[in-house]
Amino acid sequence: MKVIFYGKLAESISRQVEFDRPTACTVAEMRVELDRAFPGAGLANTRVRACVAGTIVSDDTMLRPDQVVEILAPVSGG
Amino acid sequence: MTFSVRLEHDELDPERELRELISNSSGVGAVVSFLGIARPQGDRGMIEALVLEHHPVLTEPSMAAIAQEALKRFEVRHVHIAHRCGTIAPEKPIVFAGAAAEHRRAAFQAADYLMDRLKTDAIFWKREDGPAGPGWIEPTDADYAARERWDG
Repeated sequence: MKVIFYGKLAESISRQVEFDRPTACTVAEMRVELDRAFPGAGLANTRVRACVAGTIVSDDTMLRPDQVVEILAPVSGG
Repeated sequence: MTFSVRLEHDELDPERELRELISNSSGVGAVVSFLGIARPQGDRGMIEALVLEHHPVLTEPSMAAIAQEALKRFEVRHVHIAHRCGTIAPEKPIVFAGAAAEHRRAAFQAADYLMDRLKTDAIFWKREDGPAGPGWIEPTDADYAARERWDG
């Protein structure tokens, strides 16, 4: 699964990483594993959101290994 | 009731934005606008540039959703948002948010609402670059509280 990060997560982790998981998982499960892989990056922040195919998805959304997931750091405009 | 939003990659011209807002607001009695400007100084000292990262798909719809919600909540005729992305020099405009209404109170409230929502819900990531190094700016507790007061 390809994971693309935005905002400060892209700076602290990388713009893009491969999340090596052979089976489907939920967004929440992916977040826990990524948080373990990149401790202190801020992935446990509840304001971090996931996006699939241009839509923001909830933590219980199932992800297939062939999907691209975007992880959005807390947003701030204005 | 109408709205217009624009993600601006180049310099934002406040006078042009105000003209656009007024031109879409015939017959109203009040126009209220807010202009956000990049500060030259921040909590970490001098700011050489403000960088606003955006999402290629989500950012503009997030601005439109905020404008549409303002139209639903307030007695306004037109709402206009123009928001910069990219690198912004100090003292240059970041955001223009305005509302036109028959009466002033609705226009003031809508403009206030637009900014509270843009601060916390518009899909941007804000970074200040300066001698102290890059620093990401996230909404403060006060920003979230300001946004939540509209939920009551």
